[in-house]
Amino acid sequence: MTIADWVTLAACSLGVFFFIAGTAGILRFPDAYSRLHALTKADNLGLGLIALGLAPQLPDGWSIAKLALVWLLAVLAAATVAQLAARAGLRLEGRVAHGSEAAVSDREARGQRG
Amino acid sequence: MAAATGPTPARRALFAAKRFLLFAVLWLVLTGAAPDGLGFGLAAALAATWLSLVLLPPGSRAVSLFSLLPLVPGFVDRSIRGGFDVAWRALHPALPIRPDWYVHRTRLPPGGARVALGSVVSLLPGTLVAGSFGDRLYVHCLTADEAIIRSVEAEEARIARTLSEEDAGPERQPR
Repeated sequence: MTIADWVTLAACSLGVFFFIAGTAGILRFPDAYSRLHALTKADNLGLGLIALGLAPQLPDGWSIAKLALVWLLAVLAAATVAQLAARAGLRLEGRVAHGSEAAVSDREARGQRG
Repeated sequence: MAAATGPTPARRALFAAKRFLLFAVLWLVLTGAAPDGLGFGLAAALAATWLSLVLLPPGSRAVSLFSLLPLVPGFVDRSIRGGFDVAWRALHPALPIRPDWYVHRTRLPPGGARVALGSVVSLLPGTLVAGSFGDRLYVHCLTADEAIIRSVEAEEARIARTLSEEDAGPERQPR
């Protein structure tokens, strides 16, 4: 095995670990919002590591750029979707009226902490 | 918050050229710069440039995404720490989380700057933004404590500083 293969093995294994951790978070965290944390953060890092691990196996720079593009789009999509899902959740629960000034909780009235 | 005046024709041309360059590079990446596809790429990039100018016209108050580029290494660093943090909490037998909400009143102007703040805060360890309603940013915390609130404020200050430096002069190196 070459050094490139070892890099691939290490980075992809670590990437898979983060996907497993993210999945554990989805299963174990108590509410939808907490699960979104696991979904966005752990999986983004896992995908980044897998992309990093695959890069040394690719034939040319264009393919590596394409892999980077895939990762970038996935991260942007995950960040956007997580925000939209959380926002939709707040509205569904009636904690925030559509575009209103309504409080998320009574804690807000006391100041910064929520 | 760029110049207060509307975009001049020269600025508009520069803006269109930047967009075209972006789409052209995108085509090259997608096709691996295959020579027989270059003609199609030129047409596609021109069409995409036209469409993007229609859908997202260059406004005088728009925040340039490129101006946020110097912040990228910091984003990467924090997203790695965010990933480790949530992975540790998810796998820990005792599940050390205490989810709560924190409402942040932002001083940033509406538009790109707030979107950037929302995206960055979502990358930070332990915080996730559920969108902004007016100037309020609804931040969901895995563990609500003072450190989290300070880190949100630090990110806001960082973005505000980058923007004001862009206003002061594009030559200055942010950070």
